[in-house]
Amino acid sequence: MKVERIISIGFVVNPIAGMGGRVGLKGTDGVVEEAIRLGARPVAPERAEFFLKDLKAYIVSGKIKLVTVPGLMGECEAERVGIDFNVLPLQRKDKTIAEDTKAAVKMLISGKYRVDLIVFVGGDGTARDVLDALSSDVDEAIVLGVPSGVKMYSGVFAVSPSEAAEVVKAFVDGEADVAEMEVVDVDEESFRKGRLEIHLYGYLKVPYLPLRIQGTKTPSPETIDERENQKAIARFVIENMKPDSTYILGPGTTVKAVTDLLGVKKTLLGVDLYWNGQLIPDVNEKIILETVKDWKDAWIIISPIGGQGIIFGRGNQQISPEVIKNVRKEHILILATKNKIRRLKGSLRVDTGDREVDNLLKGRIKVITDYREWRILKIE
Amino acid sequence: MGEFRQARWFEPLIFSIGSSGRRGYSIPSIRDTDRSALRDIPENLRRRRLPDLPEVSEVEVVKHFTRLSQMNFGVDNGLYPLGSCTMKYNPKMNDAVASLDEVRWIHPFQPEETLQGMLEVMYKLDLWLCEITGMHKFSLQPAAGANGECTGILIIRAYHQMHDELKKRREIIVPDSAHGTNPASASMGGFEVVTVPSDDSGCIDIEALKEAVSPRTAGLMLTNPNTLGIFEERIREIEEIIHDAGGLLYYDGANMNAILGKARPGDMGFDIVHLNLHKTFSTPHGGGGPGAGPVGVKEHLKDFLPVPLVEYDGKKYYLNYNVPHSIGKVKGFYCNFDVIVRAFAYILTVGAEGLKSISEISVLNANYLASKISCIRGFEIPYGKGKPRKHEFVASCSGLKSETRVSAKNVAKRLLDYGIHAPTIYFPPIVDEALMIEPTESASIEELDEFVKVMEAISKEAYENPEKVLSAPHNTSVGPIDEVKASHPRTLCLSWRMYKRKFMKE
Repeated sequence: MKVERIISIGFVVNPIAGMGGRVGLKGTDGVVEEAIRLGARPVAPERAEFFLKDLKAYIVSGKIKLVTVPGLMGECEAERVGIDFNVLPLQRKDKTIAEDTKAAVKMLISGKYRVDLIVFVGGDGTARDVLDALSSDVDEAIVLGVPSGVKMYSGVFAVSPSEAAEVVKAFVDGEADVAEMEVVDVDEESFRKGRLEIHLYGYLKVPYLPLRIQGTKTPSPETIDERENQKAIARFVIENMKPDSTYILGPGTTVKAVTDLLGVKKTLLGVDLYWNGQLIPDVNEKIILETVKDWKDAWIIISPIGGQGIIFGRGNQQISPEVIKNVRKEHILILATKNKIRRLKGSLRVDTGDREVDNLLKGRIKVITDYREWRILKIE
Repeated sequence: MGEFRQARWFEPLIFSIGSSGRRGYSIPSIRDTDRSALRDIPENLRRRRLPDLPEVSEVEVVKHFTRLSQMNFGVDNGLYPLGSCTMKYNPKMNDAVASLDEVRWIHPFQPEETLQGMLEVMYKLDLWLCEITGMHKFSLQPAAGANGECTGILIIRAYHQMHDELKKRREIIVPDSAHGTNPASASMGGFEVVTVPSDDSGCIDIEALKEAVSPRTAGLMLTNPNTLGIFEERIREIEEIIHDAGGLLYYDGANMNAILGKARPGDMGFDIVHLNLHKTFSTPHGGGGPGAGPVGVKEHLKDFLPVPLVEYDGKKYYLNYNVPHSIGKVKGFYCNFDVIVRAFAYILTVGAEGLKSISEISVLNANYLASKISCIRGFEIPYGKGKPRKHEFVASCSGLKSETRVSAKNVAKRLLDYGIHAPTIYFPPIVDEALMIEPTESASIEELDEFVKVMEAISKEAYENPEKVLSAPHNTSVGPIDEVKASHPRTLCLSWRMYKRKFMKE
């Protein structure tokens, strides 16, 4: 028998998250007043309650100890669900702002509380706040998002509040693994004007339960653990790698799976060069152009970022239009897990900043989706 | 709609019933004179101790399995609209034929001349399947649909190998609405899989297909009608694209129930076909078999079929092992004969006209349901709006889910509460919150109307009292289960031996 340990969970609600969505504001950053004027009503508190209700049995039985934030940032919701909890001694401003979230997260990982898991209710903006607050502790903290924002392109969210509760239960029972997931956000100001600028901000460690997150959604054999899928892709890529070829590796966990299997350490957010067992980390455009001697044997390996399917021009600008032109479309290997493809809106996008290169890339391309599996996708 | 309640027995495992020494049947012990027979069994294969069998009386066994059967659900006690599985009624006549002594007491090692009747059954079934599909020769050997697919892929492989092109032709193309086993079979054959997306009409995106073919193309696997229940109208164009690229066309015949006597894969240009006798030709299935997935080919691929083939020389039927480029065997002996006999009896009893009306009624039933269900709040029929469906259709309840939290899974579980088997859900993966519904020709108009009423009731309930649907099923033998524990290797328990090891720490 394993020793039962009480798991402490820090619970942070961003009560304004998601308010902009139904009134068409594409986010709530900096436009709360306008959202309220347009008749927006809070959605996060209700979703927070859904989550807590589904978790109630574990809290009542004492498996979980809940620490939360005063007022609408967790306390009110927990009270309404009728469970035991502790409240952080936090002086909050009247209107919830990002600073409150950050202060709460900092306190939750401090020596006094040192919670096992931080659960936040919000969207991509909230995920960024959590990431910022963790700063140097980011490798130790484990975080899970309960989706309630307007945009949720980050990989840190469970599918729904009740799925989030299931993931937490599995985490408590020691049945969940931990995986790094991306935190991305769209620049809301540009997004409202119809431009899409997506940024990759970093990675958070997330309790990961593939069967729960995908397993109930798709039948086998499509059901593949995200990380198993990444490994299978990596295996296929490596089998087809040629000695003496140079590989320009884009950011992200999908590409990192390739280098993990090769046994070299890749930067998660940067672009790296790989050649005959050696890796040059974090290169910029200049280094790429100087280092690659023979473009005939040069390849680019990348994976689209988040749900938007952008392959060039976001988070990998080091792979510049000139680099792409030198490598040519036929030497670009795009990797995407089946789960990632499902979240795409049917096609990939490019925005390199160079119209000629964008046009060169447009059309259909074969994307590697599994071991020996490809899928034809359109680049728009 | 009457209240349904499934039997609920608190039935322990058979190992927990009975007691030491109890017997239902006594087997004579080995006499000393017989012991000499044991001499030929190698030492390492002999049992050291008695097998760990349950010790129960006959009446305990009968009660146990009767109770379990009452907690079961099948085509004999209710509507079973499990899409893509063709859960039609299996006429008892076919079971009676399969139970004849002449069928039950044959042995594959018997000499051919003593098996003439059985070989005739196999030979004639081969001829009929050729007639139905437009192919030229069938092998009845594959024991299941996926076994048939694998056979077909191995034939494609052997064909390219003979033409010295296998090194080059590495890719099998499949649409994204394909049966999940198609890419798996292609992989089993050592090929890479290239998935081609569907367009808004639910058919293959022809432009994408053109991009997908290359000198690397070995073949295409296709179901027509596809898994959305839509007929690929541009099949002749698809055929040309693949054949022009030097590839072969493989027809996944799992969805044959829609086109019997109406359209033939052979006429559409397919080179290889497999059929699921346990679906279209009404032999019992579910739970892993026995099934039959015979594979038929056009003239130019006959010499690649598995051995032996059943032939007739004008006087007698015989097993032909002389197949020059045969891929070998894909199953022990000749076929799952009891399945073959049932399918033979089925075709014989319904006849050619009967087969045609089977397809007509199954298509009519599916379209009737599709039009009714598309009117229910929270449901829609995506792709190819307004296009008629064939034997099945795929509804989406993503509207219902976003408005009420009730998902396709919840709808499926709530259906069980009304004594209706769940449709296939979350397939094909290109439809969100998919419910894949195939009523087959067996459902009467009254049953279809009842199904519609139940779906309406579930929709109403989802909007008014979602908790009731979210916590379903309530009226079944077994309530909601923990899906992770039920499917995770760490907690999955498939045998008494595993149970003892995992939970009794033996």
